[in-house]
Amino acid sequence: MKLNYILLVTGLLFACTDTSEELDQRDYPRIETFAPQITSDGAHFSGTFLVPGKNKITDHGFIWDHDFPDLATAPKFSMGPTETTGPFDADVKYTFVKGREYVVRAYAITSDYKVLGQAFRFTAE
Amino acid sequence: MCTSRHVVRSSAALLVLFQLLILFPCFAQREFVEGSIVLTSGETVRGWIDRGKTKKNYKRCTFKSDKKGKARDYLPAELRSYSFDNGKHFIAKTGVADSSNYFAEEMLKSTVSLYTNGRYFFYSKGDQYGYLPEPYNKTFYDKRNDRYSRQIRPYVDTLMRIMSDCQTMLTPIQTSAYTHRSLHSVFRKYNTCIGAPLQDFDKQPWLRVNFKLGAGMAFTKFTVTPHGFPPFNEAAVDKAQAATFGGGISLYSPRVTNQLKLTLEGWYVQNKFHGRSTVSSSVNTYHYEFFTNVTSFKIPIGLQYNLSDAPFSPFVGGGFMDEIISGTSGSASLDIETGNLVTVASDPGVAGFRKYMLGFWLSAGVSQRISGRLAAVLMARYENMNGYIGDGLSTDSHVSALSAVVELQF
Repeated sequence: MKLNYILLVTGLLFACTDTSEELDQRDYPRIETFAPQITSDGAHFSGTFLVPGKNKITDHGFIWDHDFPDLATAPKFSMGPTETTGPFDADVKYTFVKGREYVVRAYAITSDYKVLGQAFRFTAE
Repeated sequence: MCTSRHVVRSSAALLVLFQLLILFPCFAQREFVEGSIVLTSGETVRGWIDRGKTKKNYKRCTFKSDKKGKARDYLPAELRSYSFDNGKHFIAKTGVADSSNYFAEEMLKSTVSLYTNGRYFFYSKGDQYGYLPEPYNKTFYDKRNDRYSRQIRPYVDTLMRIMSDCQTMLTPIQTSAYTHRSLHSVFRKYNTCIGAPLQDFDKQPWLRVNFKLGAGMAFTKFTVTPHGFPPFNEAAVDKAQAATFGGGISLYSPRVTNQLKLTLEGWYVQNKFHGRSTVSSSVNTYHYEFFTNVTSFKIPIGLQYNLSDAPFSPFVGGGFMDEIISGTSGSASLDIETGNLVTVASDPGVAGFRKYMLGFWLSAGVSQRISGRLAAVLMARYENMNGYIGDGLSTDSHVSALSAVVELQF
């Protein structure tokens, strides 16, 4: 009988295991910028929404500049509002100056926050 | 909730455990040691007897007169007795209950002698040879008709009767267990009490080794203060739950005690930690978040003490622990919140783990003997370690874990 109890507890032990692999949710959407691909007439930028925020996304896309791009002043490729999360990308036609270094970031805007993904440096060819 | 990947991993570990258990007897082989047999005619023949497994010795005697000769099996009807030169002595007996023949191991020879057939115990006093009835659980009902169970020990009445001429035996008999060691001690005390000469065939070895295999779950708490700028607070890290499996050995001295064992074990575990820390300055709020996978091999070394020598016994243990970290990986993110603008920083990294951790462990559990030396063990073990110190994560980290495991000992 005691052996049965031992086996029962063992079964319960093995049945209960859990590990969360999801990022924490925050008030703002969490985004990630991927490495850009340079094309003949511009660049292919991509990024992803890791975790949606609390409010609707009113705009998202990419900004770039020679150094830290500013949402207010830097060149921008706007993809507008979205209700879907996950990856997003764009073929950006832009005349990058050959040999110059640029920085690109994915961005997302809600009613409360403006979020800039991490910066990726690339050199125009 | 349960994830299927972990359930599969846990099930696989359990399967391997049982497969090893099934395969284990295949490695057993014959081992002949010097001894002698006494034929029914009374003739004594010296030679070599298969020590084999103890259980087999009660059913037959595999004997050969020449070390390189061919062995022959003798059944209890063909011999009076046989004995190993190391002291073990077996006498052919007729079964008390079912009249079948068997070899009884004579544990102690004196005015009142003690025998066993591996499962039950027997005694002889003069011409009288009898069975010591084993204990059993009986169900009772109290006044409120609630059911409860109590162990009945009929062998105690038998011992009281055959040892009634020695007043000092009352306590040893009443506190005895139906085990090899306990009954041997009672019979030895009685024969000493009445001043009878005794011959002890049951000299236990000085050292014995038990092997064990186990599997279970480890619940690990990891505390860390992420270092660098800004100076973060201690991170809130989710408890990691992971399947663990391993094995080990126990060393003990049956001649001294069966209850105290030196244990050396090895346990594999793969933990995944998810932590975060937030700190605010007058301008910014910094959100740091990380995932860390740590594969490690724990080596607990220490002592285990069984509270009784009975087949079912609780135990406690404790000792030192070394944890070898065999693999690490991870990712981290740092978001800087300035007003309504959030900027995601480049990967701040989680590199720089220790290779070894040191600490201590404490355990408690129960063991249930299944048969012979095979036992099932259910154990909870608390571990406290000095953490995965590293350049990328922290200069101050700490790990504690609670493991619940089931083991098979043999």
